[in-house]
Amino acid sequence: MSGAAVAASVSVAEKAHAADPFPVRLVLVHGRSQQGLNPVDLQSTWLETLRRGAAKINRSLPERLDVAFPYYGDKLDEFARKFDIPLTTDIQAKGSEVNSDFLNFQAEVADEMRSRAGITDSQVQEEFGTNPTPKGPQNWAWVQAIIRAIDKHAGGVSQRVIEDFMRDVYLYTTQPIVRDAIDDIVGGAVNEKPCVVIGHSLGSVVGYHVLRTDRRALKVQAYVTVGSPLAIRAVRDRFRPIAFPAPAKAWYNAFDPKDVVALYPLDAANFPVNPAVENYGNVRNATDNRHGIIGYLDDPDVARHVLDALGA
Amino acid sequence: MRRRDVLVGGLAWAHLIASRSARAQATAPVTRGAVIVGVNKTGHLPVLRAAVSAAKSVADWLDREQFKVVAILDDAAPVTANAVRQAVTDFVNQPSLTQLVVYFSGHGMSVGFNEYWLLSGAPDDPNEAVSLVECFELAHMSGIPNVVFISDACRSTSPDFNTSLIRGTLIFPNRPAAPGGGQTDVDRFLATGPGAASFEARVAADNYQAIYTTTFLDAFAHPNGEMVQTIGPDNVVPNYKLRDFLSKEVPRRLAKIDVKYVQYPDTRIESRDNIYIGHALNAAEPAPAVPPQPNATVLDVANYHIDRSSIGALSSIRKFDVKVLDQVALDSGFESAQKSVLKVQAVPKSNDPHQLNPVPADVRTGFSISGSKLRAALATGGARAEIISPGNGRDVPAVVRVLPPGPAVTVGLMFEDGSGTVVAALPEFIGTVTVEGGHVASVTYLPNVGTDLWHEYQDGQEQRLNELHALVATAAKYGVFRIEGAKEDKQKAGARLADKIRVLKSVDPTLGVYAAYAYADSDLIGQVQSVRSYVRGDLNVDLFDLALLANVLSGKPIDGRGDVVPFCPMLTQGWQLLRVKGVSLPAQVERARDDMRDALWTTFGPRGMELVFSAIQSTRGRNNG
Repeated sequence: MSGAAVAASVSVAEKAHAADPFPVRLVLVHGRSQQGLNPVDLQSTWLETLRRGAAKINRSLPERLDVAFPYYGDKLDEFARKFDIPLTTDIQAKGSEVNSDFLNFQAEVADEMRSRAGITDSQVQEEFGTNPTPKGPQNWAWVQAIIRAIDKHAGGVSQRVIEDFMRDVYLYTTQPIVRDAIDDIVGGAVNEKPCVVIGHSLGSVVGYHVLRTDRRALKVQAYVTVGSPLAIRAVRDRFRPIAFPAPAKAWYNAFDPKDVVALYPLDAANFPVNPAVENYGNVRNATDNRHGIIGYLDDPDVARHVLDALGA
Repeated sequence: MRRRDVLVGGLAWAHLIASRSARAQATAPVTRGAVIVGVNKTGHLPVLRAAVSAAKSVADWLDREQFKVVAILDDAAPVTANAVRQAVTDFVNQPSLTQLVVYFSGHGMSVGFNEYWLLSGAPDDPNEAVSLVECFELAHMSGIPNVVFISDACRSTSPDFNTSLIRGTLIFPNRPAAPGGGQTDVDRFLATGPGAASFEARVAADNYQAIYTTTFLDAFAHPNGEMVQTIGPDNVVPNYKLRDFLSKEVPRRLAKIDVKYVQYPDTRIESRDNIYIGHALNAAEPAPAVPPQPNATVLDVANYHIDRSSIGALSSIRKFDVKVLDQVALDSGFESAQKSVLKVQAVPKSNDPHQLNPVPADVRTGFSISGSKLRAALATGGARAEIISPGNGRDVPAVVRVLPPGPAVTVGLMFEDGSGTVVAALPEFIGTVTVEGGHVASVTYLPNVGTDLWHEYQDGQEQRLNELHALVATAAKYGVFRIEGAKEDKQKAGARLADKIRVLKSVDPTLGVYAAYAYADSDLIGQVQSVRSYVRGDLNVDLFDLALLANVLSGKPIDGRGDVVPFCPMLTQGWQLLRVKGVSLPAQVERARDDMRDALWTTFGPRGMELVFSAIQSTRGRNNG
């Protein structure tokens, strides 16, 4: 666990433990690309956004709130550099060797994104250009063309962000050493007292895995996911057989229908679990790429679910 | 499970059977699924009377056990491979599935160590069959925690029609397992042993029963106390508890109907002891005061001898009087097969020219062939394979020298009748090839005089290794060189085997190949990779079979010029894995497959051997003729 993570998650928890005035802890699990940032600042941003959302429905967060912000941004970045998995852009620019398993993963994720975003084969072919097309299995240039087409025609998430996102999800879901290290950080922020867990983007994947595998008697009043890629088959199938996380009393999933990372709802067709996940697909995420956390937590419906679960 | 679809010839007739709780089914994710196939009539083969009824019984039972069941039966229309594949694929695509049962009742057969379920259109249509061994492999990659195959079908070879073109269909999707994903345990309940028949029999005037299926269902209807386990609130019969029951009950019940027939089930369990298909439907019956004496099989013979060898037990041992086992070994041919391999192995004693030795001391790399005269030998690339002596097919072996003595190359050996084999010539090893009745029964690599390994063999290892070669080759021939048991037991047995196939810091190549197949069959992929790594370190090339089993050949060009030797599997059972592991052979070698014989080691008929020689020739360039 990084020093920053310790500072962010444990110091607040200790304070809470001493007085123990808080009935429910709020655990915030961030997504990718948070390396080098200050977890205290990040936590403040999340809470401030949530307060804005609460204000829209004339409610407010409890004045004293036990908050944990398990920060794994630097740890994930450290692993990403250590594994040095080449992105398709690297393959073109640096002549790196193709990691066929990662390429397959990217191809599957990209194609699902493309399909759901309504991007046509013609639009992908346009990005592929007039290169000779090998009549064989998947190749990196085609995958890259799909991602460029998504970049151009859907949501505003840049090619680089999509590729980085895929790499980080791939690292977390395929490398036990990465998964264990991040799970340790996030799991350490949850204890056997009642809590509400909010997971954003990759954080929703991490939160799901922690809640599915933790053997303690956790009491999760609600699991709230926003901008979650869990229903993308290539991601979902990493966790087969999927099931509702036993410690959670409820699971609420919110997404912007134009967020390319979260195009698929966690519903019976894409993420069949029992009881079913409550999906909310009317978020209008105001961030540039329709995926940022500050465009989710200020949504009135998201805020209402968090507040209800906190008993506020 | 609340809904049962009945597919007749691929059409859903869900309305035929009322759904018990269709409303609940519509929303609840599917966690347990079953595909039930029953085929009474296959092509022109004898029409069965109880395959469909047995399938219906299983479907009803699983329906009550809350499985979602898709039954595909031929009582109204032919059963197609496409319908079976679609049903299985639909279940594999369910991310919440924790267990999948695939049941088949109908005609089956074995061809070259692969096994097939024959559907309505077989054997005329070679695709209207299910390639079982390949499906075991694909099931391991399905991501479903437990896949159970129940096969009530024959596993015998069929001389009645041309089987060489049958490849069968893969009913599981070809989807590589997600790295980091969960593991799949594949449990196999096969009605009968390798090469043997499964029976349906008349039990009343107009009542035929599939003996195995009936017994299988009775394990849940009338379990004895030893079989029932309490898991949570449920009394269940775990998968691993079925093995002993089936192995005792099936032959006993068949013998009660007609003592002339025998049928010994073959059960392979990978799942842990808390995995089960069904509940104990009635209170457990006390175990009989005098338990029925199980019949000894070739598997018991092999397990007994492996246990007594330096390897030690690789599976649980059933206790039998040694005389009983000796009789089974004699009757089945196990003993004579073992002796024939043992007889032809001879490590060169020294380079003393006066010593009687079939292989001259100046042959550093080559082969000695017993059981057939040799007509021709050809090596890939720039190597030469010289016939020193063609042998006489009886007591004088043929001898081949490969020059230069390294690196390893592919060599084709054509026997007197035009049939032959393809083997790897390994530097400083003499390969001893044993031919029996036109089939290659064994290939054993022994170190040449003066090498470090040779000194080790001279230092007391020879007898041990010779005996192991013979025992393991014979067990493999009978399909019973296996590592079985709970996961931890298999890991331990696998590690022990790994220890025993090593000589000095190397791995005995012969035992390495056999062991790798046993590891792969038991899903011990780490051990396969270890063996491959050792052998590759010693020989500076990959042996085809080891690389294949270690999953490193997919997409790699195999042309006889690279660092994989030989250019095809040496053991026949490797051929059945080529498709699922994504491996392509040179075109002529692929075509030669249509003329393969049913032998332990790859053996081609004359037509196939011509193609193989042509493939070797193409690696040699114009001037090497």
